[in-house]
Amino acid sequence: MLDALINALWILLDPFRLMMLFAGVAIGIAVGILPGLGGLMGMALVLPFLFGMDAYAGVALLIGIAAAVPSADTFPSVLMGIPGSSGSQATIMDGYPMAQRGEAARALGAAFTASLIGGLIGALALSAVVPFARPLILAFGSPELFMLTLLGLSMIGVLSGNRPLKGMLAAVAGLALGTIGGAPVAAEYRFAGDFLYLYDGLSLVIVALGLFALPEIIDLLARGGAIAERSKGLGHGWVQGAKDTLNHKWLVIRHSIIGVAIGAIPGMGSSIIDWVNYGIAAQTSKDRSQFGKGDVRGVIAPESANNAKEGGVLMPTLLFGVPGSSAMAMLLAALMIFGVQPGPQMLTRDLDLVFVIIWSLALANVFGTLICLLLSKPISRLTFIPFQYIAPVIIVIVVVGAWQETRHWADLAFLFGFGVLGWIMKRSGMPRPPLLIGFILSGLAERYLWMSYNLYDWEWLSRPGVLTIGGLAVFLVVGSVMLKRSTERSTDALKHADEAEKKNRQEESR
Amino acid sequence: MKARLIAALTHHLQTPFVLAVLACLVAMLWISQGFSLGARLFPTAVASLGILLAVLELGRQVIRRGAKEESDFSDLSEGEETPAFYARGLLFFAWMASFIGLFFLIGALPAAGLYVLGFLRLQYRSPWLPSLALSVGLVALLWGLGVALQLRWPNPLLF
Repeated sequence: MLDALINALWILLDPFRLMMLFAGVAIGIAVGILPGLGGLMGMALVLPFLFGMDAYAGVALLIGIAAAVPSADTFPSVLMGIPGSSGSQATIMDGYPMAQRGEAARALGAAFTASLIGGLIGALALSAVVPFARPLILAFGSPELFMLTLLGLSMIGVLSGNRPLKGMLAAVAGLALGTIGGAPVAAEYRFAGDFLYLYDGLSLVIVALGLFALPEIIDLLARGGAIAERSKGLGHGWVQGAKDTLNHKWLVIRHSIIGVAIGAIPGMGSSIIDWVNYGIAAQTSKDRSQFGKGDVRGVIAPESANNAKEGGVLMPTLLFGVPGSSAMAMLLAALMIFGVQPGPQMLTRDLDLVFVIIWSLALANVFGTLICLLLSKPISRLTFIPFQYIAPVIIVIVVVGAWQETRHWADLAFLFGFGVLGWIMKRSGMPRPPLLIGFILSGLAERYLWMSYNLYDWEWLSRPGVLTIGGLAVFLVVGSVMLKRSTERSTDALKHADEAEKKNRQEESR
Repeated sequence: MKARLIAALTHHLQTPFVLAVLACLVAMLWISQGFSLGARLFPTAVASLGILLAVLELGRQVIRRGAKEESDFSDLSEGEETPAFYARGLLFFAWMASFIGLFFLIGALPAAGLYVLGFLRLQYRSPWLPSLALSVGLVALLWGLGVALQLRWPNPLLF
């Protein structure tokens, strides 16, 4: 195991792979600081260009994006009070008041240092879990793996939106879309008619770009105006911010561990992790009077958890082949592009790749933090570029990327169609991540189901492992829904308290 | 009138959407019965589960009819449910469709340049200099990417 860990580091230190990791971090920072765009979109944009690339380099590029977004999304949260991505909402509560009193640099310094430590703890936790989980996972048969796939998918479906039924329906719709084309276990083409283009099934790149990239761009354009108004500037206090984080080292460690633990539950999402950690930090502090008014602990706790969670979401993704988040679904898709079958067999056949992912996560956090700290002034200026200059460039890249799939006119027709579908789903309150993850897991789930049926007939349903995972599924789904609802209630309470405080202050100033 | 239309398109869009999904799943179940066992097993299971979920969701919507389901649209702000927002959204989809049309008609690189220039000048009345600079820069970037990654472009229909 140790040999594989060291070997993976040497693999990643190849100049081209390091360059790809660096490019991923740069893209992650760019999409992280632009509110409305996130890691998922960044990964979807580069997916079409991965064909023909070395698997290690491609994975380094994607992990670079995923790891840099939680650091970079702090810029708009602190400077403008707008979340750079869903995982940086709670940072606004104290980061923005700090910026308003001229301490933006201190807040950013604290946030980046906490992000760096959190990210490294996440990578460490992931590498520690692999040796222990390996024997357990390798003991699973296809019925248990099928149940695990269903467990992950149902958790993502239930937790992604505001209505569990809608999320589950979206996940099933994704599974259904994944059945179009050649059947993986029989020599038959399904639901393709005479349309040759569909014989290979729908392209994942096109489904992902259409569902996630286009609706976000269209909405940002339709909202109109610049992304953000100019703020007061960064001010001073970088070193003080870093010292603040180091002075609260136990807070950083505690929230990093919480971030990893919650991140490992598929579908929990970065916004939940962010708010849960902010809530815990506020509830467990002796002096709560400054929370919501610019307490640096309110920045440190969610930021450390936000970066540490990437180690957590990678756990179900790499160990079970069940994506922990939509961005991880993109990573699974990329692995399939490289011919790597996600799931337990990765721990035997592709152990080097698993450790390359872990090293990439650790190094990307270091690169991301260094870039954010050293280039903070030019990076913060990027948030002021009007979106009309960014949108057409992204649309052109999306169309060009989609065209490279099969170079068939239908690539662009389906891209447009899925764009409209994604926009309608957004408008009708249907969560989109379960649909994408269902689509990705469809082939895998079908293979596991067929193998289970073929080997055990319907008796596989009564295997102890299957029954245990089934019971665990019910427990986790119900427990997670309750946790999510209580988080939402406390989040609403925090937001209302913050709004009331602002109103009071406004009235007092009058 | 417009506001009513938009309300119909948003708060009531969820029912037609679920009905459309239900229709697709019923068709999937029907068609899949003609396949061999290996090809039929998974689609049958998925379609059956989907039909059950769709019916339950429709039932929930009927029971909750008239109730304001704010939580369903929590990711949309107030400003996103105005007719102007919808009109702008459709307008930008039209811009994208026009780019795709140009992509096939005159080729990828000229279409990209023309689209960015037209979008910035006609839609946003941006000054000539940044519009031209972005347009030329993007074409250069695509050309560079094309050479580096050996990308292939469509043969233009007009030339």
